[in-house]
Amino acid sequence: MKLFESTRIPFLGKALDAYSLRNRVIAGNIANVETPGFVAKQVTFEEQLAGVMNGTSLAMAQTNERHLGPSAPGLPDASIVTPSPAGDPLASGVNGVDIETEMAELAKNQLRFKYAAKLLGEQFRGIQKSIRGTQ
Amino acid sequence: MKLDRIFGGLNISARGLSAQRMKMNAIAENIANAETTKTEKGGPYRRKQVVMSATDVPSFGAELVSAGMSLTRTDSHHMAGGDMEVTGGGTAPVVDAEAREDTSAGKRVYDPSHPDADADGYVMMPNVNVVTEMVDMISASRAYEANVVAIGATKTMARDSLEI
Repeated sequence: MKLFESTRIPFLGKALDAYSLRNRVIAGNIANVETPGFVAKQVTFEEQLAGVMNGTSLAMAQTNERHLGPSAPGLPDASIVTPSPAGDPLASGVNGVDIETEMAELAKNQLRFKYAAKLLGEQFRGIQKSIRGTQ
Repeated sequence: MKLDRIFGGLNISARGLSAQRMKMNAIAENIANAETTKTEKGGPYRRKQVVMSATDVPSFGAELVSAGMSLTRTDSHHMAGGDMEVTGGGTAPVVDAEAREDTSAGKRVYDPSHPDADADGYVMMPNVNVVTEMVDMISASRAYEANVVAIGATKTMARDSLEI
């Protein structure tokens, strides 16, 4: 059924997955703000999505009909990266977790999630409207 | 989206909260015992210190492998099960808190009238510095607040996803 695939619903679903993963990672960073030697983790999604949309990202080709297709063709999954600590290595006193940055990221992520959730809801309402007619 | 992912964020923050509360309890105990010169073990009170560590929650696949389960290829058409990634886990490390005793020596105060004074009239005081404890208390309280905000964010996201 191609009803949903021609809309933005697959994109928004992936985005919601990515934001929910990022929320967990930020919660982990905040919980570990006083853990000595802890390195803050990050979630990359936007860069990969931009890469796919610009066509610069690697795509999987099906050279044999027995090949399995990628789970959601063309859409990247969010992944967790542990960057080498760039800022102050002792931002929180015992490790490099910068609590201000993490709280700002948490707030941003929350808003992005709400935005994507609203958009997704509107997509579904749009489809519903077109099914019912203009009532 | 899986529900355990949403609750995963809540659980991580909750562990952070309980770690900070444990730290607060240790600080309260230290301040209350800042002048305690005699304990059950004998000698002055020793400062309690809460040390935190990060533990990675293993993924379900890793748990299966560690429990001795593996996938076998009984047919050449089977896919290899080497990197089976079943679901969730392995994302954000959970914080663990552990209370330890600070073994550094306390101050030796001259007070011959004190019942715990030694033959020279000196009393061994606890190794608690009230100023350090107050500073630790503020940082623990702020870290607790940060975890509360993170729980609020996770809850709001869960509610938003119900409104799709």
